[in-house]
Amino acid sequence: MSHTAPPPALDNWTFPRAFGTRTLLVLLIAFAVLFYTGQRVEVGRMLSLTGNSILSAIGLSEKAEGSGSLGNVLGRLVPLQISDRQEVSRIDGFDPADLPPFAYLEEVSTQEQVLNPGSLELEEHAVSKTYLVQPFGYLGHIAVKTLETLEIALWGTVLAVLLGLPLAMLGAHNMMPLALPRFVARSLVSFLRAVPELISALFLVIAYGFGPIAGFLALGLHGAGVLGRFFADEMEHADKRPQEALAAIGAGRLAIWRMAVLPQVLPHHIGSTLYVLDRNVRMATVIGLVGAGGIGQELKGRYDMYEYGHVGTILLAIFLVVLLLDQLSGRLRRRLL
Amino acid sequence: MDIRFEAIGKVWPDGTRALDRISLAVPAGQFCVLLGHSGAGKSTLLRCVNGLEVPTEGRVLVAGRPVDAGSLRELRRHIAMVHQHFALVPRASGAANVMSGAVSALPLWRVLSGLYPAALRRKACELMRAVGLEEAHLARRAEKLSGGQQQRLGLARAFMLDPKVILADEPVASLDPAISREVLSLLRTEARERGATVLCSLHQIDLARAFADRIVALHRGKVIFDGPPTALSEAELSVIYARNETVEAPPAIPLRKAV
Repeated sequence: MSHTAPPPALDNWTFPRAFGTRTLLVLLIAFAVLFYTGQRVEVGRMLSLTGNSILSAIGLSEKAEGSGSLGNVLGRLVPLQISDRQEVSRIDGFDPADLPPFAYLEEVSTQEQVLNPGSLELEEHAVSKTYLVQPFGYLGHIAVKTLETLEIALWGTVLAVLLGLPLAMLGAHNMMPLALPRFVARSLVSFLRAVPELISALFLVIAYGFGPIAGFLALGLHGAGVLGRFFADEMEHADKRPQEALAAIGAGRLAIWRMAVLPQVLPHHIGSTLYVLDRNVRMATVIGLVGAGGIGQELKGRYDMYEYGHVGTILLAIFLVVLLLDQLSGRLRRRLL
Repeated sequence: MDIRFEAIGKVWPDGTRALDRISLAVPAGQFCVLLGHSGAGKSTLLRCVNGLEVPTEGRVLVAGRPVDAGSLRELRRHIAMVHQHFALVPRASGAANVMSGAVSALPLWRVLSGLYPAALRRKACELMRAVGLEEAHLARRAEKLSGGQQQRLGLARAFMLDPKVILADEPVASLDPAISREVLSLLRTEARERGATVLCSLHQIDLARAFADRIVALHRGKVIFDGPPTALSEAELSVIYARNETVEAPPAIPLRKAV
């Protein structure tokens, strides 16, 4: 029979606490920072306004103050504008026998007071105006503008690849052994990425005038900054062994890039390019606001004329395009990687 | 082309001595196997031949020309390399991988466009067949091939420009014994046909004995045996394969120059 010795006491054991003083201190500081900055960005007012409009929307409180509340803004977007109505006399070379599909003519007669120059009296006149009504005319117009936006985004992406790829090759360690050109290329890429599209579009609109040129140039320059960085990182992460194998038999840098790097990184490059295309479609609508073409320009115009029904239609169109593109590029990326 | 190592040494930046003033002459056409356990300096010695490593002392001569920045560009066209982990481009096709062996003979526009001359395309096919691959492997991605097939591809790539020197860095380390024998015998046959000098590092003694014209054993950066396979005794083997790396190379066994 043997008796086991009692286990040694655990006096010097301490189980670590979940939170140390340092964690608490950090939390305290974070709270203080959020409290201070929260007041400066008016989080409290935002909460009260939002709460008010929700309460009024479900009928629990009086009408929300002013016209600036969220519910009112959303309410103005409906009904969405779908049809298009144009006075016939303002259409050049209008031919009533040859109407666009689904279109019809609408006669509107109104009484207008006209000053008779002879008697100097106001006289009532019946004025009749003819309107060309296209039930889906505005949708068609939006479709054309959306297509223009997509084209701007596409060309912005093409430009981004054309500029970004050489910059990436100059900026990647395994492609460019010299430090100075690498530094210059990396700095240029950072600069391109640092200038927001909206700002460069503002300047490009001055240089190239309103329209798509400024749009796709702005997108392309920023996209080159993004892709120059992404491509360079992807090249640097490519497997080194095949590159060394080619260097060992006397291949130059470009040959190594083409034979050993490109096949490895191409799917990643395509993935990054799709990301930039995706981003460009969203940004193309925004830079339209400063006159760089596409649906954004239409949006800005309608917004400034208080035509919120049109704005609603445009927003819906943008949403649908972004959603579709997201699905499409996601599917493409999954197939490639 | 013959290879001469003249008292070459290599000290890593951390002070580790990989090669300790090795002098060695490998005559043209010889199949010379470097034996030794991991870290003995085999790879470093091989990589000094085509300039992937620069020795910290001494020099290497290939066909009488010292290997340096000036001569490398020309020399590398004649020195092929077979790698332990194949070093193929995984997503590229078998054809593209084999063709990459001819990269130094192709103008840049052909490399960039992928439009290779008919003679080289034909040669690539012939080599693929010679190493036991099939037409279907041409279009298949390298990563989809088995280890043995990948190393066959590596061999085909190495022979694209009919090299005069072949450096094989543990070419069969990740292959099973039967495939290893096939790959080594292919390497030897193809090299013999071209009269190429082969410097091949291995760590399997039976394979070294079966294929080598000459065995050079390294231990801690020094040559501890140099001679024909038949002259390799069990006692020497036990030193070459001393697992315990802290054991000093025993001075009891002097460097023997057989032949």
